[in-house]
Amino acid sequence: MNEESVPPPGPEPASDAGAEADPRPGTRADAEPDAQDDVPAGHRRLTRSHEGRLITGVCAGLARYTRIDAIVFRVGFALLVIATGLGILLYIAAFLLMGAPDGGPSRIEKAGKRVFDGDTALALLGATLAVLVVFNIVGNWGSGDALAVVVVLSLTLLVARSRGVDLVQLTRSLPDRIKGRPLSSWTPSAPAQAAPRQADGMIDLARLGRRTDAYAPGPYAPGPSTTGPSTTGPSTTGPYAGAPPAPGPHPTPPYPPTETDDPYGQYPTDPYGTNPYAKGPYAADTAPPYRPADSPYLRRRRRSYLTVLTLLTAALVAAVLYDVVDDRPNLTWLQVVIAGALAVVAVGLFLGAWFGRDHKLVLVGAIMSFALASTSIAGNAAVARKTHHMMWRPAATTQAEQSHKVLVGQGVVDLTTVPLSPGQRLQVSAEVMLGVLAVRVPSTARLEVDGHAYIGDITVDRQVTSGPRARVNRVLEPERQTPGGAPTIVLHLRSKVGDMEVTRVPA
Amino acid sequence: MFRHKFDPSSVIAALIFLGIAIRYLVEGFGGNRVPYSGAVPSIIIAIVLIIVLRCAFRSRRRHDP
Repeated sequence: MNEESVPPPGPEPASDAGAEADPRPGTRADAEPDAQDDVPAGHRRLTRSHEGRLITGVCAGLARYTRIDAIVFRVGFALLVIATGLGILLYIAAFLLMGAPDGGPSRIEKAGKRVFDGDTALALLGATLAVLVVFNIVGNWGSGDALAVVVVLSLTLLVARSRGVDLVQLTRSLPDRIKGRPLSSWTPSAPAQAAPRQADGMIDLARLGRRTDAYAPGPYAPGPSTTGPSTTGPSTTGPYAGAPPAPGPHPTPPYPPTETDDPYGQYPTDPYGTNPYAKGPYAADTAPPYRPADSPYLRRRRRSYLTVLTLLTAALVAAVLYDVVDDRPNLTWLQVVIAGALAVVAVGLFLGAWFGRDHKLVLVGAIMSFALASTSIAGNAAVARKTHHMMWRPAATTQAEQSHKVLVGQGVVDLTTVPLSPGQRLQVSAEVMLGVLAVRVPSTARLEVDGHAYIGDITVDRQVTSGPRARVNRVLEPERQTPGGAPTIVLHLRSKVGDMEVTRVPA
Repeated sequence: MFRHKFDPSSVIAALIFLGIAIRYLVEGFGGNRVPYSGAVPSIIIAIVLIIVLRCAFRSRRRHDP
């Protein structure tokens, strides 16, 4: 910037100390003179601000950077603090991530010896908020607190999008952004220059505009390069109006949109509408190197073994866990085995995010998640009653010998109401696909149980048999003998996913 | 550093799956089943979120030059 062309600033009515002590909430922090206003957008830094600060200047700094009133950030932080306490963590993260009020590096930048630009710091804060929200609402869906933090996150994303932020592109570029620049390459920016003010304390907008209009040609242009003519034709304003392009060294725009300045391509390039490769007196000496576009048809895909290795590791972990938790009842062994394998799939997806080739892992993870959900459903009597509840209470042997099937839900077969004569043999079959099956038999009958559960437990007279493909073949004698011989009930029980229970009821 | 374009949907899916796995592992090692009321709706919503994000990023990648 050509500071020599700037007229001397006017009197400063307000001291810095007075400004720091200003505790008014919602102070328009963007009214503060900001040295970074003169910095290209790609190099603006996110720093805390003493101007209008309440605690450490985090909200004021965010307000100055985003040009959103600080009260909005304060309300957001307060809401997060009241709802779940996330606001405290986020505030601490912001404090550590944002640069010092004087423009110095933040604590994280000092520790990592890297310097981030403002957009990167803001994106990291947003990512921190998103991660905190995800961890907060896992297993806590539907609560008011979870709703509050989700609303805050959603509003943040909506505001960012409405202000022209390409969220997808920003997220994609995050791994490149967080590499930042070496701290050694960072140089302190010029101290903040107060806005020129008139004698009555009002900001002199005319002088301020002349000073900050980097693209304005004319005698007040801040850089010598901008005083030259445009490459696209004669200037239309200023002392060079109507003048033809002058030969000589190539003029440099005030902020040439080079790749270094804007590595992510998010800012409008070429403010003059010029083309650096255009023909004419200002054309580049050498043509840009030709780089053929990659053809999607000729692109070779290297084979990746990430999915295969992940699935093999998941199977290995599942086998080890099965060996460890085999004896656990109530399907808890199953959920441990599947959850262990799912954790391995999650690690594979983490790797796949950076190295790619994570095909089908999301599908596998989704299937495993649904399997875990089914373990919550299976055997849960309350759920079964919600979905489907079947009750059979046969009053005759012919009714009892019909097949009893439960597709999803809970089924109860009550055989205590069946009139049984001494020595009679009753064959009863019952089946459940997903849910719970309970059979009640009179204790005066001899009981022969043939049970088979693919996934689930079989409980016969308080004795539990667990495991995949559980099989039970038991004979229970009647509790008391009856004259003429006790009747016999033969139970054929089948279950795909779910528990079965046989209970003897005293007469 | 990375020869593949970073895919945030994979990270989000990994985080969600990891959260589900940890929840079930903790409950499973404690001998408890994860209650239906909290788990199943959460998993369904999470899977839908993953699918939406996956589709969004895949379609974006298709339009990338």
